[in-house]
Amino acid sequence: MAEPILSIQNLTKTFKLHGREDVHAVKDATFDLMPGECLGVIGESGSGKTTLVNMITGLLPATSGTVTLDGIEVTKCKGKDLRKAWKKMQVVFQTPTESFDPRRTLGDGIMESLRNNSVSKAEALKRAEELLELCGLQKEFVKRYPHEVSGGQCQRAAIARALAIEPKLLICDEATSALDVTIQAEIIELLTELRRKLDMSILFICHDIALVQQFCDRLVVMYRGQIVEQGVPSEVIAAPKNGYTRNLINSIL
Amino acid sequence: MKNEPTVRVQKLRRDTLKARLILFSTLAILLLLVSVFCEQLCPYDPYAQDLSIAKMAPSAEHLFGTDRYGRDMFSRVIAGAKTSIFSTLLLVAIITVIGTIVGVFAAWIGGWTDTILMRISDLFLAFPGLVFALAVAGVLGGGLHNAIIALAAISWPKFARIARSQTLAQKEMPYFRAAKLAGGSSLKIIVKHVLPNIMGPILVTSMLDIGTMMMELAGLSFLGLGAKPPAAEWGSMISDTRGLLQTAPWLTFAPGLAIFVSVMIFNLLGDTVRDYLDPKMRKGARA
Repeated sequence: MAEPILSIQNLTKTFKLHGREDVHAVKDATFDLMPGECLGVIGESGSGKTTLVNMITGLLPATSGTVTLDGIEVTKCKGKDLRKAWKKMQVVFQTPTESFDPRRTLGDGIMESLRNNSVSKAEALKRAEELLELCGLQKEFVKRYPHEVSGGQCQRAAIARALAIEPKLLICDEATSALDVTIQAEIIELLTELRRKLDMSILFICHDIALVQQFCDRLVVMYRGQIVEQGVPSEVIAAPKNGYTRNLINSIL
Repeated sequence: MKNEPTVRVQKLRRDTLKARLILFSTLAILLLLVSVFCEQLCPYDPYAQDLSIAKMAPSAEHLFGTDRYGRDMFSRVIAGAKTSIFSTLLLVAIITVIGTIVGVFAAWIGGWTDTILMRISDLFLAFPGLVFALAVAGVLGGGLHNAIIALAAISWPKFARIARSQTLAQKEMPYFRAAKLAGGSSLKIIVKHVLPNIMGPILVTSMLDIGTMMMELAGLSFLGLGAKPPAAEWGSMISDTRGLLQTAPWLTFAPGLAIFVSVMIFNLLGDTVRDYLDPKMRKGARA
């Protein structure tokens, strides 16, 4: 069996609150993500999905446990090493318009990671235009500001930005939740296509089980910070082992 | 959408706002021009004494009269514009820059550094400003430079607070996380993303502070801790002439009026800029 691209072992985040009980935002999470695989993480609001993403990217230090990305132990990284890890993973955020600096163009945003890795300005601009076209936008969008484009277009640009430094892992943190249903379908279609073309792994965080089941190879169900179920979507949906998963499925299907 | 003001009303509001902005910035620029070209504009030498024409009432020759040494008051008020306005602008620039640096630094590092810096600024904010400035200026000794240092020392915390809260707000935005993931260094992210996004509220506050600072500088000079005679400075001119308030009131009114008018212009300009940058007044800024 191949080495997993992302391996998470007993990952825990505990927030200490003064005078109140500790909050276990994520507790003892363990799962692997294989190269080229698409793993869906579902759970309701407050189940610890975003905390999980922040820990995987190293933006939030974990209380205990490890995150290993393609041989780099992210949980131990700081500063320079962390920047090295970020060349291998990128995130697409929930709110597309807010994920771009309001005072800079979409092109600036897409070029940023390339410029930080000493790609020349002309080269970066060319790349940005190619990426926008790859994500189904005209190359003229490099000059647009985030408030000038629609949410769906902005999310396409955000995907283009995430792909700029050719990451091995793309994390979609509720990337479709702020969009309406038709745009959602378009974005999913785009992601499916990109995944085939670029052969990357996707960690797809979502609260919509119907969306996840048609798109992901495997599912992880989170409830109150804990992973309550893992498996192939068809099996999880056909025969949920956990009570919460059953409720979740019943509420949608 | 029915309760929203109609497009025409919004447009009208925006047009009057624009007119106000143009009017007040023109007036402010006029003030600055007066202080830049004060030497050319003075009809008489503001420091030339002529005791034969001392304490003259306002006339066509001497618009604001002459003081007890026979110096032309109109020339002195114009010459005072340079001292008062430039030292105020310098002071505001100093506290804006220092406050912003401290605030951004505190928010960026967080933890203990943040706590300590903010408690220090609380300490400054807790004191009545002018009293504290008096003490500082008293220790440093008189002079315009020391008055500026004293006021700067007590006025930066306001800007540090604003810069800190704005920076913290930016740190929560998704674009901030995206910028970090793009691999930029801290300095790069601060210069490219944080500063441009927090400058708006900070600039408005400093605009609104110009008037206050002008008053406080004039106040220190009035109390003898700012500009020293014979330097033409509005605050010290009022102090100089207040003994003659009953016999030659115009001598006190002239610099008083100058302070009043300039503070008013800068305050109204600050208000207008604030309104102008208010997103609610900015139709079409958001798609």
